Formats: sequence, C-alpha cells, structure tokens
Amino acid sequence: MNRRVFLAEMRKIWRPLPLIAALAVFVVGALFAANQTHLVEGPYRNVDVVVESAEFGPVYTPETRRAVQTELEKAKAAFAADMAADPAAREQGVTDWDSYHDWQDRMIAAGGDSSAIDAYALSSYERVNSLEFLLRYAETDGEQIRATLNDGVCFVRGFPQGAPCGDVPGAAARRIDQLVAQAGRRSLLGYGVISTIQESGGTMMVTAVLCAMLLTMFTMTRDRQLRLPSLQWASRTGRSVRSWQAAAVGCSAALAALTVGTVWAAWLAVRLRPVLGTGINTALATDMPWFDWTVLQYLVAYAAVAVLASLALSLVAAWIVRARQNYIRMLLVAIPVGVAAGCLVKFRIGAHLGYLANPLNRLLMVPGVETIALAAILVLAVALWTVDARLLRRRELPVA
Amino acid sequence: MARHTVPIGTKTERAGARRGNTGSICAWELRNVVRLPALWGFLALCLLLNSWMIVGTGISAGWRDDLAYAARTAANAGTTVDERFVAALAAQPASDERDALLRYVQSGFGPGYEGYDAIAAGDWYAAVLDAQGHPHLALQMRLKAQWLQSRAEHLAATGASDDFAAGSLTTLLHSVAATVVQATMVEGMILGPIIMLYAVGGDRFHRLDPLVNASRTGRRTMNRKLAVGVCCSTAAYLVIAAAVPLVFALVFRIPGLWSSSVSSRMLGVSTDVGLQPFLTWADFSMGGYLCASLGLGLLFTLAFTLFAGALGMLLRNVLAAFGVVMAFGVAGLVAMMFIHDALAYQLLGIQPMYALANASQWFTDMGTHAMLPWQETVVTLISVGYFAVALIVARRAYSGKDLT
Repeated sequence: MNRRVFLAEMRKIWRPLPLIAALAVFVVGALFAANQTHLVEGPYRNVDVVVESAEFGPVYTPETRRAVQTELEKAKAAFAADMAADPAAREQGVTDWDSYHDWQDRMIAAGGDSSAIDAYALSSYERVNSLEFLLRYAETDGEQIRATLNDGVCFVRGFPQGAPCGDVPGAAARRIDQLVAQAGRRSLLGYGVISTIQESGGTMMVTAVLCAMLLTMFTMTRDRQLRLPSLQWASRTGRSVRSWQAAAVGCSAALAALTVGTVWAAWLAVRLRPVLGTGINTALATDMPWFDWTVLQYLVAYAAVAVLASLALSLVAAWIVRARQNYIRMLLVAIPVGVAAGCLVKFRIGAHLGYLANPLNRLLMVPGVETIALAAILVLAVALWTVDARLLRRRELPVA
Repeated sequence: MARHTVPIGTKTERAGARRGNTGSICAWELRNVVRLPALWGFLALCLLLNSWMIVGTGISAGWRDDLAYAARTAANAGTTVDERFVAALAAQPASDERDALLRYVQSGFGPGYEGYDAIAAGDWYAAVLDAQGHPHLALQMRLKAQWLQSRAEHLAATGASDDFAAGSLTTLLHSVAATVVQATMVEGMILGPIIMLYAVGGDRFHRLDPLVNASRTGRRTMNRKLAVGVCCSTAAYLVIAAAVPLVFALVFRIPGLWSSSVSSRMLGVSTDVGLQPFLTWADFSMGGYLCASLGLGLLFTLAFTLFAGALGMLLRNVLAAFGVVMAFGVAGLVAMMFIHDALAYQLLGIQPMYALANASQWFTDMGTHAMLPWQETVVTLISVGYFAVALIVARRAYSGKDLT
C-alpha cells in the first residue's frame, strides 16, 4: 500500500470548506433528530416514557404482574379521592373508577356532556389508564401473540388487516415461534422509546450519508479543475491513483458516519440510561423485532448501519459523479444522486430498522435485510471502482 | 513609427455594431447554457419526479375507486352540492363509496359555511398572541378576522361554498397539489442558482476570465450573462411548472373539478382552532389556484436566482456561492419550522422560505403565520426586491475590481 498517496488523497477530502458544509448539515440534522423524540407523552400530563418503562423492571414476570396490580389499586384509590373532592362528581354520584365509566357511557348514550367531570386532566386518571393499558397488553398469551404477529406478516405482504394470507415465510415463522416461546419474558418498554430510536435514527442515517457525500464527492472534479490528471499520469504510482482515491473516499465516508452515529447514540443513551439494558421485545408494541437486542444494542445497530450505508452509498455516488468537467456539471449529477441516497436511507433502510415493518421485508422477509441490501450496494461499488481503475490504467491520455 | 488607425465608421454604424455584438454575445451565452446536457437530464428528472407524485396518488389502489366514483357522481348528480345533489347521490346504488361520500358531504360545514365563525377563530388567535405578549399583533389578527368574515360572506353569496370539486377527495387533491408545488419550488431553488452560476462563472472554468476582461466589450458581457442567467432559470422553472397542471388534469378527470371554487366546503383545513374552510383573499377556481401557486413559485425561483447571481460575482468559487445560497435557504426553512414566537416568526419570515414553509395555505388567512392578506406574495416580492438590489450592488463591485 502506498501510504503517502493515500494520506494525500485523505488530505484532499478533509479540507476546510467541505468540512464546514458537512458540519452545517450535521447541525441541521441534529436539530431535526432532537425534535423527533417521543419520550414525553400525554395530552394533559407530561408522562416520562423512559421512567414508566423502567418502573417495573426489564422483564414482565409474575412478580411484576403483582406489583402492577398493587399500583393499579393505589391509583384507583387516588382517583376515588379525586372524585370525592370534585363537586361535579359528587353531584353526579360518581365515586370511583367504575362508576365514572358507567356515568360516562350513560351520558354518551343520552347525548349529554361527558366533559362535565373533567377527569382527563387528573394525574390519577392518567395513571390508572396507563396501568390498565399495560396489564391488557402484557397479559396476552402465546397464541394471541402468534395471531398478532401472523397478522403483521400478512399486512407486510400486502394483505388487508386481519385477512389470511396463506403460509408464513420460513424465517418469519421461525422468529414467531421464538417470540411465542419468550411470551413470559417480554419487557415493558414503552413504544415511545422504540419510535424515538427509529425516527431520530432514520434522520441520523440521512445526516451521516449526506455529510459523507459532501466530503467525498468533490475531490475528483477538483483534481480535474486543477489539471492534476496529466501530472498523475506521469508516474507509475500516479496511474494507480484511482484505487487510492476510492479507498480514501470509503475511509472518509466511514469516519464521518462513525462520528455522526456516535454522537447520536451517545446523546440518546444518556436520555435512555434507565432502560439501556431493557429488551426491545416489548409487550407494549405489536411490530415484530427480528433480533433479541437491548436498547443499547439497538442504538449501536443503528449507528453501525449508518456507517455501512455511508460507506456503500458514498462509494457509489463518488463513482457516478467522478471527475466532471466543472463544478456545475458535478452539482447537476451530485444533487439527484444525493437526494436518491437520502430517500433510500430514510424510507427504506432506516425505517423500522431490524423490525418486520421495514419496507424491504416486502421484497425479502429475512432478518437483517437492510444490511444485506447495503452489503450488495457495497459489493457493486467495489466492483465499479475495480473496473474503473483497471480501465484507467489502459487509457492513453487523461480527459482534460 | 506611424500609428495605424482603424476606421471606426459613423455614429450610426458604431451603434449598429454594438447592437449586433450584444445580440451575438447574448446568443453565445445562451448557447453555453442550453448546450449543457446535464441540465436537460436534471430537468427530465424533475419532470419525472413531479409526474410520479401526481400519478402515484391518482392510480394508487386506495384512491382509484374513490376517484372513479367521484367522477361518476359529478356526471350524474351535478357539481353543486345542494338538496337535489344529496337526493341524487342517495338514490345511487348502495356501495361503500356512496355511503362514504354521503357522510362526507353531510359532515363538516353546512351550505354557505354554516357552522364557521371567522371572528371567533380570530379571537382565539388573538388570545394566543396576547399570551405571547404581542398585543399589537393580536389587534391585527382581529382586524384580519373581520376581512376574512366578509370574504366568507361573499363566497357564500356567490355559491362558491357549494361546489362539489372532487368530493371527499378534495382535501387529498389539495394536499398533493401543495406537495407538488413545494417540490417544484425546491427544484427551482436548486436549478435557478445553478443555471445563473453557470452563466456568470462559466468562463472561470475554462480560465477565460483574464482574456474576457482584457477588453471593454468583454467587461460588459457580465450584464448579458446575468440577463441570460435570469431568462434561462425562468424558462427552466416554467418547463417544470407547465407540466404540473397538465398531469393533474390528465389524472384527476372529474367533471367541473378545475372550474369549481377552491373555497368549496368540500375542502376543509385542520388548524389550531379546528376545521376551517379554505377561504382565499380572491376568487380562485381549483385550476386558477394551482396556476397562481406555480406563479408564486416563479417569483420564489427568481429570488434565489438573483441571490446566486450576486454571490457568483462576489465569490470566486462557484461551489462556495451555491453553498451559501443553499445554506441561506435551509437556515430560512429551519427558522420557519422551529420559531414559535409570533413576532420573531414575522420578522424572520421576510425571506423566500416563508412562502415554502406555508405553501399549503397560500392566499388564505394562514392563522398566526400571517398578519396581512397576501402576505406570502408580499414577502416573496420583497425578497425579489432586496436580492435584485444585492445583484446591482454586486455588479458595481465587480466592475470596480482591479484584477480578476
């Protein structure tokens, strides 16, 4: 390996102006990712999803069920105390949770005003609601889980909700069997945690890919503008420069994506500290995870896939753009390529990464289909650059 | 040594030669731009993307049947939603589409926007502004609500509120149109500056700047380049924009759709105060509204083109100039998305991205995002104005440069 040529190519990529542009994209991406958190929920009371998820431990066991039921009784007692203190509730004869719902049903059936008692604003109401929701989903047995996951498979395959769709594909069927066997060991991770990782992770991946492309797409056009190819061709070392350029593009893209992914994962890991060891196979979500990851492992997976995506797509993009005659021609090619790469990452690779809901499962329903797709793109990129380097060695004169 | 002089002809002949030179310079600059293959490729991609967005909605399985049913209903029951229309619709053979359409036309606002109160909505917005500590803006909001109420009364009196348009698909159609208009604006925002920078900075790529600027004629070519840049950017946007209503008309073929009022009560907009009718400051048909939106997109593109022209002359680096234009655009959009204080929003909104951020509600009241009628148009015109001033200043600075 010619270390000097490689380092020279790296210095050409890591210049001030592209770095400033990449930093600007990073700041904008961080702003969007920070606004895609769903860790505080509730229309009236700000419920911290992370605290709620960690309250009863990482796994739902019989002991957990008893603890939840105890808390539920306490919450209903608190609600009854709130009703006793509410003049409107006393007037309507509402004394507890059950009588409140009876009253509400009667009012709705009679077309009356069911907001006469403002229960929704009470923290005790919110608490009872969330605990009952938790019990309802955590108590589903293995066969109910199987039915829900089978419905999910059929939906991904394009069938209407609830419609049968024949045999479940092999990999999905095996995974459903595993999850049914784990029915008694699911976590109580709130769906807000998973959706936060997925949405902000998708934005992080787009940011990583765009930062990587901004750094790496301009180098060869700049070389051509500076009339460097003729100088490069003067020596044997220079005629093999295309390989080093590709290697520098790949390394730079991976490094940029690693930086972006690490910052994102570190930021979210701090916020999700209480549930980092909790499994993403939760009773409170119906989408099927392909892997038995913890929250921390899921964050690392998103960052790792961002690095792979940046590496593969930057190499392909740099090959498509290569050495254009001038920056304007380069922009007219680079912008559509960048937009296509961003859309691919946002809507296909980064959407519900590692879950059955990822759109790529419609094409190939196997675990890690996103990584397989990116690996295929990377292989294509390596093949394109290899052929390009070989053809360049045979060329008589460089294009001016 | 004898000095050799070249006969320079009469004053008329010199003027004629100048006009001929100007014409041929413009023609050559135009050729430079038009003969860029990547430009046509980019244009084709934009056309494909916009068409895919429209066609994809129209033929998607979820909407195809509803679209066909709406067309049949308009043909059979007419294009005015009144008692006769509802009776004719109810008399059609029972189907899920019929029931859904019946529910839709009988929900929302009644005939003449019955159930909508512009003054109450204005008071709600004013209370929000008062809570933020902007009583002067709250006063303006109440004034705007009065203008809006009179518009609602006018539109109701002309029967505009009862047009069928696309029935239950009207809101979807409007949403798709707004998205396509936004896409067209972004495409113009990217393509316009690129064309302008190529027109202004093209000589730099071939190291012709010193040669061109060595003569007086050469130094004056910058004005022609700017003119060609503006014309080509405008033409490129018009090519993209012209395809939009054509494709819409081909996909959404419902009788009377494009001549029906965009303020039909079939189009309800979700706002902070609940569902509101789409009341425009002037009478627009659906087709007219789409064309007016694309026209505002042209001003939007022009603003960024002028900005790129100014930067192209001031900065020696085309990439840096393009980067600054895009950074300005992104910063403007981010400000419009994340600023919540009303006064700051209005002040930071005096830039073209204000229009892009509010594209789904152009020519309507726009809630707390607008204090004046036609604010998106006014803001875009102001943006064109100050970028034009920037261009003139940059041109003068370019003329005064010692060395290129």
